[in-house]
Amino acid sequence: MLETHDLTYRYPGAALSFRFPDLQVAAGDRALLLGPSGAGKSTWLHLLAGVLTPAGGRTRLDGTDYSALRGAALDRFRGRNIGLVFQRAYFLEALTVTENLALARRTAGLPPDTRLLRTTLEGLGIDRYADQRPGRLSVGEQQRVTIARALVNRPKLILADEPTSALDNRNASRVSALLRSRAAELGAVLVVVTHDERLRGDFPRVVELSEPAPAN
Amino acid sequence: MSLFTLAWRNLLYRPWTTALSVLLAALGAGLISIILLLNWQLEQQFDRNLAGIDLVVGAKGSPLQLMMSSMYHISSPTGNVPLAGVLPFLNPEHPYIELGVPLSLGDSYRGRRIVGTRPTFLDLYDASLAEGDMWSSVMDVVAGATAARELALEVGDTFRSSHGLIEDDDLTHRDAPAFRVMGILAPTGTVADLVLLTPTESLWAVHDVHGHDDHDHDGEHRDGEHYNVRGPLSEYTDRSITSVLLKFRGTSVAGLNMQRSINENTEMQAVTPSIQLAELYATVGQGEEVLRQLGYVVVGVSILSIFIGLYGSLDRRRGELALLRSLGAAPGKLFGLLLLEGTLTAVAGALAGLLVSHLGLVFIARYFSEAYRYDFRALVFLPEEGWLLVAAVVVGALAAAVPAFRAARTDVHRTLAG
Repeated sequence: MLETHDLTYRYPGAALSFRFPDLQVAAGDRALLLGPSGAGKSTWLHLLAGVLTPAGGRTRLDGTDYSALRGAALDRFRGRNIGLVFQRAYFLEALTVTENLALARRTAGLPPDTRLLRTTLEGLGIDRYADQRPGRLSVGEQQRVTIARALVNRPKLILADEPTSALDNRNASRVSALLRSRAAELGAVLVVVTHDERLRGDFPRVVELSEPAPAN
Repeated sequence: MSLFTLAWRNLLYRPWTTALSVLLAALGAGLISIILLLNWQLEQQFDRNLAGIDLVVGAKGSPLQLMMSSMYHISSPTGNVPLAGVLPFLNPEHPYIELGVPLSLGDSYRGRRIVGTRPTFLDLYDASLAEGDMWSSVMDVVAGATAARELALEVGDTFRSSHGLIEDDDLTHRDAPAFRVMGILAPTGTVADLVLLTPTESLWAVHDVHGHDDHDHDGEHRDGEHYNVRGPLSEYTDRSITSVLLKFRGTSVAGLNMQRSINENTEMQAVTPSIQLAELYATVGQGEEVLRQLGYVVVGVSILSIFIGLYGSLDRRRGELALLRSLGAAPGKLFGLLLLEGTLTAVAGALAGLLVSHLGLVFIARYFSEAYRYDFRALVFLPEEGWLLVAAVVVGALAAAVPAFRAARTDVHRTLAG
């Protein structure tokens, strides 16, 4: 269960601060946060991810108020409990697909599990790229690898930032389907942030963001 | 996938940048290490063979040449001195001189110097016989351990000498009597290993027949039968030898006065080896200093190269660094990763440099043993080389510090949202 309450954020030195609608998404459920560029979608996602620390309000995952965590404790919490899929597919370029996945477990302090890595890759239909460098894959394949990486720690929360905006229709619907089915399988909360209207139909709950509003 | 492995993989992923940095580090470390090694080897060789010799007395000429030829058996002697002039130094009753060893040089067998001397030579280098016996007559030879091994000489073998130090058939004393090996010395780690020892009279015997001397001798010496190799050299008055090595009793002022007196009042010169060596080291030291400075400059450039390599990669790697942070790696891990990449590069370079310098030393050793018949140990590891590796760690860390600090401060939000 992901809950947020009175979440606000102000960029250092900025006059305006963002206020975000309260969210409540149950385990195995999903939500789509839709809005135009500049509406603070990535900011919201990074607050949910614990990458940014909110100016006010709470973020709670299965009862843990992780907006109160700092430093290494927050890093560890994020590594273990939150799977992230970014707009651009980032990898450790020097490592193979499998090694990139293994590293995600390592940085989260989880024991290596080669079988889990393989089944995750198989589940996403990319196991034949296991020993290749991600830089050699197509954009759609790369995005599937980042989804695989977001899944290998069996997170309670999966956050995706514009996962489909760089993809064509076919790949976009495929990525969307994969995210939804894997999250449901894991019983994880899935939150997708996007301006991609194509995804609207895939989510029972859509929260629309408008221009940043003064928060007082 | 440890931090170490990740650092290693990252370095291999940029092979050219890494190769350049490793190469420069290797060059710097190799240069410094070969200077250390050569210096050590030279001082070892020279100091070991100092053998407590306080004074070398021989013909006038270059003092360095006299010392090199008489003590190290490198280069040719400065000339001969009349035996009559040096006889006092060979007197065992001399109040200031503990040991006087006469040397007659000039001939060799297949590049190994034949030294005409007295059994006191063995006392000088603490040498003892491993096989056979000490010489008992003219033309008997006791071979140094290395010389015997390399020339495959065994007790009972005979050979003919040749003039000078080079191996040349034309210079062989063909009609002179042959030398006979009577004994072989145990290894001493000194020049005694490298030479063939024979009574002083043997060289006279060779040259009597051969006629290198400018005058013909009386028939009674011709066959060498009438020499008494066990007696004092004072029996011969009209002969010459090359030089005398002297050891004083204690450290007497009288010894220093003796040197001055010889140099001022006789046709001979007296050389103090320790002073000559100090001068030699000072001369060699200047070239060494230049090379050492060059080594430091190269090390400086290699620091710069590691720094530029890492710093330049930061822009390209910002995404993956932010990713690592988002995956749960603390900023300290990112700092450590970059620091490891820097130190790994420097240490790999230093190891390569040490390897190359030791390989180089093998070649130098081969050259020295061929050209000068000197034993050079190539497989020596000095404690200073251990320090060189420690220094490489420091250098690598130093070069990586700033990029590592920047990596640790990667702004995850801005990078990943961008």
